[in-house]
Amino acid sequence: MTESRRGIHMVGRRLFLHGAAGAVVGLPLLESFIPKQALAQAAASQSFAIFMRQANGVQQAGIGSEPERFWPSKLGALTTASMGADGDRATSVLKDHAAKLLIVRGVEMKQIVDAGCGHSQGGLLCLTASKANGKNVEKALAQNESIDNRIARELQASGTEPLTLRAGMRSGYLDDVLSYRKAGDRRTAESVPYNAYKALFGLGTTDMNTGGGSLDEAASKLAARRKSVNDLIRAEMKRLLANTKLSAEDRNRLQQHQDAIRDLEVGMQQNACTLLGNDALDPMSKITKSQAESDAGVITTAQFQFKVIALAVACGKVRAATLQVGNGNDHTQYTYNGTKLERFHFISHRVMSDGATGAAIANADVKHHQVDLVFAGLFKTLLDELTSRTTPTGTLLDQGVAIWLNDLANGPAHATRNMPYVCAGSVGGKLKNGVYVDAGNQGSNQYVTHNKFLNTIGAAVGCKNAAGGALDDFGDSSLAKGTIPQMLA
Amino acid sequence: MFRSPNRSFFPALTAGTLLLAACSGEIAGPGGGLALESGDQNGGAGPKANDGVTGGGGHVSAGDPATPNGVGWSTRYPKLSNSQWEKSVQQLFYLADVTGQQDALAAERADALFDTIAAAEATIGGDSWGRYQSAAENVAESIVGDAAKLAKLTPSGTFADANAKGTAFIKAFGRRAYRRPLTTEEQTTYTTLFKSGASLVGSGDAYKDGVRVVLEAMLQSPFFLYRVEQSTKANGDRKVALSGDEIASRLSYALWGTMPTDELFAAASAGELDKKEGVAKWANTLLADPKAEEALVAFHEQIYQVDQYGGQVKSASFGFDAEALAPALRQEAHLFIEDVILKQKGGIADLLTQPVGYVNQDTAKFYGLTGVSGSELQKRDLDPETRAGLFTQLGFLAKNATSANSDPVHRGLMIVRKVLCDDPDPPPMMFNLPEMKPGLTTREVYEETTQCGGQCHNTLINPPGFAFEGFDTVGQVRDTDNGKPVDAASALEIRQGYTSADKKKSPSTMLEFDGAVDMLTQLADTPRVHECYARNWMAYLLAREVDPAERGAWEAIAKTSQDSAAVRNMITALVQLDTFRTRVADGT
Repeated sequence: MTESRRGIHMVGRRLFLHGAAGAVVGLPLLESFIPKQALAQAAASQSFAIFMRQANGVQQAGIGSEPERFWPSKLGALTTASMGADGDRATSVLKDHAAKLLIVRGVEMKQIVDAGCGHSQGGLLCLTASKANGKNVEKALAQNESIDNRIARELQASGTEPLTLRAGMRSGYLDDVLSYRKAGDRRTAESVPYNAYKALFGLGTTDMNTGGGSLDEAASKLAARRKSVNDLIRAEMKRLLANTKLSAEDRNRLQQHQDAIRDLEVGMQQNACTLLGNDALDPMSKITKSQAESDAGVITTAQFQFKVIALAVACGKVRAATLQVGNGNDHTQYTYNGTKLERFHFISHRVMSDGATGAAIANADVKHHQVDLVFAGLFKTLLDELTSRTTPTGTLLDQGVAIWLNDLANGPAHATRNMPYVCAGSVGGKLKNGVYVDAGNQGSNQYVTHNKFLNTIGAAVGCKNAAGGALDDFGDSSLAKGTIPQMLA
Repeated sequence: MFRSPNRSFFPALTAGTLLLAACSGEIAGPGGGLALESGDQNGGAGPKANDGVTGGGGHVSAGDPATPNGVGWSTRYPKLSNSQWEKSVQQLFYLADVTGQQDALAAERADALFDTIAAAEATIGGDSWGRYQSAAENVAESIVGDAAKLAKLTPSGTFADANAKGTAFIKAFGRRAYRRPLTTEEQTTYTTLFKSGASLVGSGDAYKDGVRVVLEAMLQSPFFLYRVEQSTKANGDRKVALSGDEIASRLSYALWGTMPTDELFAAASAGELDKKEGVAKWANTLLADPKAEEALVAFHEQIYQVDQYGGQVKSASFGFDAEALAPALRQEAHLFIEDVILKQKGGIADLLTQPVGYVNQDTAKFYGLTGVSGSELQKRDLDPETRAGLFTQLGFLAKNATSANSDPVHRGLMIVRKVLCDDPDPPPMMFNLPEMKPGLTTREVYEETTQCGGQCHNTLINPPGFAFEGFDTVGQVRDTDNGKPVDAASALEIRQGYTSADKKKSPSTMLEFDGAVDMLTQLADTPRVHECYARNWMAYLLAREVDPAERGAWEAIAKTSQDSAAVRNMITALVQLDTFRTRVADGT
């Protein structure tokens, strides 16, 4: 009667209608009950952008004799086969999603700010394209909102916020770097997936505190309540429709109303907005704050945060979400193939210190690449999650865009040219997919500024510029306006 | 005054009559909507021409259009607008502030004559149902989670148990949510639902859980989401008298944009609204309350499209930053309407003629005013030789203009459609505003370009537009255009009748004028203008397009407009008519 698939609790119609489990939320923006002719428009209206931030750059060519281990070997079409042939590149981990990828090189995160530290300015620049309010590395704040906030502000219901999550350690140094409400107003990210889940779906107050049951039970109660209410409403609609003294126009309108109620219930078993089942909720609810902010828990936490993010966008709760992995200059000791590596920041500097000097780390470039592989694998879990949720027009991934980005281009140099941007999802066909593009002309050492990358993402999901056209003026006014045509379908 | 150097353009047009076979555009939506035609203007049973719905009885009207007793068809399920939903929730729960939930409801179409019409005709389909569901759940949760809010809904007295208390709650709250007493069957159904609250919510507080689930249901009920009119007993002329509760809702939503107060419900229950005198009394009560002011002003802002002021980019040479000035231009109109309608208790004649503006340091110069400082708008008398009312203020003039030139067609169409309720044939599909030519004034170019439009342009559209030729693209007074003297003299055909048949058999009159002030002053005394104003008010208050069968009704109200000018008097007159207190029987 039920089946679990990638941690999603699917509920059959009969079971749902009997209120036995019903771990499903019939929230707004469910495509399944939108008339077919409106599907294309509805899909566009549910566009979203998800940003996963990795710190400390990636291991790419350009540092001494270090080989290229990040970018695909050739510009142009990406296929599972071509990416599989690039097995020495971190991005090849994503080969199963090749057809949905848009990998972008040739972007420069122009240093319009001196925040006193490459990590400090990288963190505040990467989603804001903004200047800072000073050079104090720990106190410097962006002088603009971030792109996730812009998307939420324009596209979400008034007063709602973008989803701002994190995974991994806090060190008291650049703990939260990504999301800004406005100039000087940076958000604190939620570390614990279960808290984020409860807050989003309103299941943590009355239901959880007084019901004494699990979150799944609360969801079941919600579904059962909806069934009872819907039964009552349907009976009222039926009585109204039974009235013979009804104009054809009124009858038609009431029938559409009745159909919408029915479609919502039918949609509950087949739409993307499906609550998590116990197989996901039980382990998620056991992740404590200290575990979520530990080296040991960082990847598991991030994976659960992705489940929360996917559900949030599927149910129309948010249109923008960020996940910051690790603190500002990520000191996490990641584990690769069972081996715990040195602190990532040290690896990125290739020495056992936060500076340029110190004992050399043997094979540091390889270890940096291994951390990149960990992140690639993590990003793949997000893409798997978004792909597993189906809509009448495809998968949830098709409706939006997920972006794996960094706040630096590489480690040792803290470079900001050739920033690594890996996108997936076309936002309903607005972005190219299955391709690796050069936004500038890297061969001629020409780069486009990263505000254009943010503009492109913002425009694709539906944000507007001051004149009402597609977004092209996000970020600091000193940066040239525009989008990146190579990214647009 | 603007003087015409050459009046020979209208050598044959003098005050008199003129019968036209062309320009057969229909009048349907008051203020110029899409043409709708009632099959039988004498109250027959012919369906509307655009009634694409099969089955049922079709749209019919009842009553003699020659009297004030005509009634047009109306839906029995006008949906609350998002704003009405929000205000109703606020009042239902006696909240100090609105919930903000309306922001998550489905957006309403913006192309209807009034927002209330758009909402009333809307269907709860697609994703809008899910949005209502979420909003209802959020509101219910917030109410039961706040002891003070819950207490306001809790019946007083001593009860044997939670269920008995719940039964009393359902009766009292249901009467307000449904805007009528619950039936015995409904009371039973909700009592059953209430009892299930303990298991469906499971907080341990049976009363609170029951209330929560009942609130969720009532806020999703069609009887809350629609302003349902269930009365069905028709009299001999197919009119169905509305119940007191139904009239209470019509009154309250029309004038306050929200559900009736407890006092109005009590009056309905006491039968006070069964007589037209009682309806008039309560209309006056509501109109005397500040809560009615929003509706009185919003009517004018919507019909005259004030929200579009400032949306037209101007050539830099004019120094008119439309985007920056937009708030001031809209606020000027708002303050002017407030002053005329609310403070002066005036009407359309005052709106058309009073030479008043509200200016700040940024807009004063375009009126030729000096000595104005600060960003706050200040009331100023304008030159009565050149300015008269809303349509000579900067907002209207700049909206209906191109980036560098006046636009006689769109200035004229506003007068024709929204002031005279006439509706010329639509333009050709590929119509573009003409480009200016060296040595020609704007008027000369338009006259040359719109020749093919025949009499529509020559007698209906262009004349009122040419009256505004004394104003440039940003609304500044000008004497010359492209180096030549401005010609603002013209003659406008005032057509009679509101259907093609009526227009064919009714004589037209010609209104000669020289300039905007002259034209607007004459229009203020023109019966057709007051009829149009009355029609628009009927549409606004009834939340539907009016029907030709209701001609007698708007003509009666128009007399009130012309005699007393006060909008409040018009409304009081309207609510006593059959068109407000009855509906036409549907179906078989």
